[in-house]
Amino acid sequence: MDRKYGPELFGSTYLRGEVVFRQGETGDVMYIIQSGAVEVSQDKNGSENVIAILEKGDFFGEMALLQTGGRSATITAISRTRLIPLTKALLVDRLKRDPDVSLHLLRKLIQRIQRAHRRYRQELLENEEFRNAVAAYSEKLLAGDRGFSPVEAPDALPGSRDLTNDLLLAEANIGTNRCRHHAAPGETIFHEGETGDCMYLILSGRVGVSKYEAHVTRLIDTIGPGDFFGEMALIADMPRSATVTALEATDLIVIDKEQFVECLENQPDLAIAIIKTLILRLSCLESMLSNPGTFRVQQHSPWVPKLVKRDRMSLSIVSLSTCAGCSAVLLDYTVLSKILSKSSIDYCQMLMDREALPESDIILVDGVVRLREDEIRLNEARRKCRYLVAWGTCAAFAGIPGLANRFEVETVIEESYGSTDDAFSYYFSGPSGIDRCNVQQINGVDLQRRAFALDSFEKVDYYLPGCPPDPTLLYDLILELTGGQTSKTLPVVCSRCGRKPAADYFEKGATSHLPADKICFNSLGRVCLGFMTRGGYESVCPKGGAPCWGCRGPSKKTILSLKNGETLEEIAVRGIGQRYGKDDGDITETIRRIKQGGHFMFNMDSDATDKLLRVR
Amino acid sequence: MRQQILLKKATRIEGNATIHVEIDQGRVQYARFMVEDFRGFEKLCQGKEVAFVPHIISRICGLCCMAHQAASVRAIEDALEIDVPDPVRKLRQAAVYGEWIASHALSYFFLTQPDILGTSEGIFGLIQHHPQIAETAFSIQKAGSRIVEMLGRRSVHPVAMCVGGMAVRPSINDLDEIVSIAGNVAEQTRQIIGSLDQRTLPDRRIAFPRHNRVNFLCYDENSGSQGHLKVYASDGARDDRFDVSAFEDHVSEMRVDWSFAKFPYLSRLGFPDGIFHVGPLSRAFSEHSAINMGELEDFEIIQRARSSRGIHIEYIDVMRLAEIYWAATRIEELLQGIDLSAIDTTPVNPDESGKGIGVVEAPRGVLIHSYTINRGRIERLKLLVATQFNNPLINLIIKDLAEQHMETGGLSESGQKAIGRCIRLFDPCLTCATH
Repeated sequence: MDRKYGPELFGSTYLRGEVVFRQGETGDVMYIIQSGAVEVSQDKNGSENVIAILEKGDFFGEMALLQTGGRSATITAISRTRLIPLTKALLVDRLKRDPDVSLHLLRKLIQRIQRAHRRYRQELLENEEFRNAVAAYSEKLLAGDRGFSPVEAPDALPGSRDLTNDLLLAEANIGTNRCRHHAAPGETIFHEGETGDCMYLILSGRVGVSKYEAHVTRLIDTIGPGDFFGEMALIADMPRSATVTALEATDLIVIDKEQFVECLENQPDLAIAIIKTLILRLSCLESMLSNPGTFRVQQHSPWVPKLVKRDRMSLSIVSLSTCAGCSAVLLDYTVLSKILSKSSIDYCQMLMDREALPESDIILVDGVVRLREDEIRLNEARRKCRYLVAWGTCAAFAGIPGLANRFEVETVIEESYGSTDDAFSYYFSGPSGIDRCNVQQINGVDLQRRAFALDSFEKVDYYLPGCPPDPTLLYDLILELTGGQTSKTLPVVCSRCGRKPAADYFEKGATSHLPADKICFNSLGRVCLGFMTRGGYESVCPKGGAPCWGCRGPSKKTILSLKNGETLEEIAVRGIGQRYGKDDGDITETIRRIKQGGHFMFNMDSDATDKLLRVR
Repeated sequence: MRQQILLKKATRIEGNATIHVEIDQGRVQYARFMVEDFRGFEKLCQGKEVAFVPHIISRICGLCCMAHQAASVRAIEDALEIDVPDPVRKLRQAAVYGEWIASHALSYFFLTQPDILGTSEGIFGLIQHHPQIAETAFSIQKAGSRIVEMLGRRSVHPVAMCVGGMAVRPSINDLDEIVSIAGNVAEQTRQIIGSLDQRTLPDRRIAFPRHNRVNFLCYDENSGSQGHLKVYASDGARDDRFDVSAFEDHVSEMRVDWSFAKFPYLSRLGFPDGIFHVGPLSRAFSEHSAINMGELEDFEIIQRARSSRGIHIEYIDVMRLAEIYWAATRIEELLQGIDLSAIDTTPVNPDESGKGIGVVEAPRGVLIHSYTINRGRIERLKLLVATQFNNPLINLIIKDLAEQHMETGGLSESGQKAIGRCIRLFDPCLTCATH
């Protein structure tokens, strides 16, 4: 034991009224109150404002441990007080050796943050000027304005940057599937007021923190890679203090209470990192309260973690009731070899003998849920993977088998099996004996009442629609998930079609300057939904002579129109009307006919409105 | 003898199925091929306009999509008496043969060869341990799907085929490229067949049942105006001949509650005497088939395969190779001197009524689409799809194999392997069979 760093047994005495330190002074010592009490005050517009009173067992001045700026408040003793000073080195040493110290410190910090939040709320309610400033600030946050003045990266602890970096890496590498979560853009991770028992570390991506205060929900903060959130509920056993939503595709490590305590014991650097960040957060809140008009200090994480670039993902392919076209497209060696360079295919019932579905990073599921069996297989797939991908239009939107949904399942069975003989009655009534198909008889492997897309049963992480889907979509997704960019939304089918609209085609007719095979199908009087369908697969259908039927699902713009209350049919009529030279009534009737007589997008079991950000 | 229940998922086949074998008191009580796939195409097509039907029907199967589309347009054209010019017929047939090549390559290399070479990871094991073979596998499969792609504009679920003609005409360059690809495939396949000469059958016991009648069904398109469906007995004698339009009436089907696939049989002969076999081993009986080609006569393995017609099943993968060769040469013949200008690309959307049948030899066997059309929309349709015909036979052979491989402990390891291998040899396409 190094005597130089040992704590004082008895703290220094401060008499009533004595100032321990002033706001703005430099200092790098933290104090524990052994006895007595102090008041914490801040200078606001020239007058001294008492923020808090701290008593025996409390501590203060910890922010100095991490920042190189001046003290954020003035501390004055209000009675005879003994204060034990703690240097950085000592604190860190203690934190490393004793997880209880960390926990205690954390709890106290959280109490502080809570108190600050309370003050914040009060200010919002009472102070108009403050409200306006905060609103302006939220807007700037939303607009992505990051004009912060960066704080000097506090490397209070030598080598801490790398330590915690490696820690995160280690955590990421050993983290089992259960401890991870991938949040899609727009996904709410938890709501304010919910009970929560885990905290989250952000590996990549960004989340927004919003609070409901003074009757309005406001974005108050964004948190980026290397940072964490949700720790308050974990440490202090309290309901979630804010709503956290993923602003982009975000990769998270989830730590529950048990793991957290274990972490504190085995990886004290994590505790230190958390403490540092909490302190930072507190300081931000404090500075915002005292000076709402200015930008707060950027919450610059003490480390920038190396993005955990996974080299390879494990991929399994599960097929439900499908035509196998979605698997057939993967046999193209050009794409398959690219996929195999970034992933290993661990299970595929059509191509391999592996009987039990293994735990995988990605499970690709194609086909509809039509049988009871399919549902069971889907449940298993969801349990055993990190990312469940709906591969193909059947899995995403129920596709062609979904056309059977306009009939009662009994009639579907009747049609297929109605004129068959039951094997049993055959021997009693001869080959001509008709035992009209009894639905209950197909009971060993039951049918669902409808053909369902996957998300009727399980949460789907990504949708890759297409009938069949372009295999490069899968490769792009794997790239995205192994640390690359989020794939851009492809423009509508028209963009690669090559045909041009000619709304005057019927007037000009044969004198039109373009040959019929270069003119937009809609202008020719046939229905093509390319203008409202998400692109992909190089518009192979219209190029090949078949009008687009919408297998890739509605385009982004179409989904937004759907959200506004329009129906697919209305959108179609509008779009075709722009390209077709004849009367409007004609088109509505045609759409109605096509919906009945064709396989077009209108028939798809699509609740595409909330899938927008997860379709590729 | 104790009871043993074996429930195994069938792997390396297209579709979902479970093999169920139960042995009790020294007897095989159950041996079932439980097929777990169903989507209900026979119902969901009702009310759909004929212009869209080939595209909907194509989605019955992603491996046999071209065959389904071809049968579908034929049935519609037959029903509504729409004439198609000869070049269109030829191009469609060439596309179907392209699919034969892709499908047989998939079946031979990806699905059944791993048993011989001993890799359970299928094609991924081949890529690792036998890269040469994997390369050949991918190249032949790609050749086949490229041919379908050039004629149909997409290899899985083609878009260019339509009622009355084609939506997009291929160019002369396209045709040249197809012929060249077909030539390469023929060359490669010939070499592979040549290298198989010394091979003996790994398991002679996978054979057609000796004590049960099997009716070998195939389609001869050149016989008569519309072609005939011919039935052969296992000794090669031509047993029966049906008009395409009449065939449906001669077939009855059975159903069970443990499988979604149906069990067709010839009504006249009853069940189980009327059960069928379709596919390469069936086509081997007709004169114009791969196994009887002059160019392949010299290969000993082909001669052995020919002489084991109706007896052994193991030669079926040799037959598939021969059929790849045959399909490639047929494509070259069909594309000779085609007059592309005669192909009409104007779309038709008729609203007449009629009843018609389209028959195609798909890679796995005879495919029959029978449509009743009411004012341009499907009133009713019936599908008899290749593997469906094979379904009763598969169940029967599994039972035989289970009985042959019984031991004191139950079903032996080699028995389980034989059952798995037997199912793979049939190359069942279960999504087709259940549709």
